[in-house]
Amino acid sequence: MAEIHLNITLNPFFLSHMRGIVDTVSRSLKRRPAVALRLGEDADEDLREAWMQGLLESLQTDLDALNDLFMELGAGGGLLNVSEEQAEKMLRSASALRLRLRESCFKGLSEDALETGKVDFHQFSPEDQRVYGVYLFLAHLQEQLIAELDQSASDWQE
Amino acid sequence: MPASTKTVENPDTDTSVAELLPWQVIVMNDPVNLMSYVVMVFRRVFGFDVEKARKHMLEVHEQGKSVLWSGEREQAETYVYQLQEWQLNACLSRDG
Repeated sequence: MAEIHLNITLNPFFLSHMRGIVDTVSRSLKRRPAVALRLGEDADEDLREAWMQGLLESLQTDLDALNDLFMELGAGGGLLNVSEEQAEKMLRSASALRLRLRESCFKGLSEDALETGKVDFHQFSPEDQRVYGVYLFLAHLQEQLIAELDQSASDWQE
Repeated sequence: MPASTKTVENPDTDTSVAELLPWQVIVMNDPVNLMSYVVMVFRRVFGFDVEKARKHMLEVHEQGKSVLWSGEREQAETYVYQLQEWQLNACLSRDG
């Protein structure tokens, strides 16, 4: 399986804040998935329970991969190599974190503002500015991972 | 309006027809997941080529939802579970 190369440089102060925010959100994702369970109307309680437990367990494995990345980033970042499997886990966990951040911190923002990124940063409190910075960083990480995965897939086909 | 109508006593519509309808895998829009991410997930879960994955992503984005697959319940559940593992807003629905 191909390796993915990431080049991440972060302000140590921001990185330290981000770890704290990600820790808090990860704890909430241990109790409830980021997506709503939507099964058929006739799905029984046992299926719902097994479904939710399965989602929570796989999400924890995904979040572990992202935490490993943050540990490897050390004080401020640099060049990192991750496997394709680790990259997929990071992508999923970044999505879960962004969904939960949206739900808990940016409920007041319209879908349009979130989709287009046309957000008045100065309307946020300093704490929310940091949270929004994490929200944006996770999207940037996803873009980098997707570009690398695409590149790796096309190298494989050549 | 038809010229004549015939009243059917005890019409034979029934739940067995509903039971035969295929199950649909539907993905609904959310303002959080990136377009490129959604395309990648559709390719990985359903094995779509880029054009087909992109077409469904745009349907989700512009119309609010897209039907990705339809067929037997067990396979539909597997797809919905995988999509939810990828953090997409997916659900099962009965066709028809």
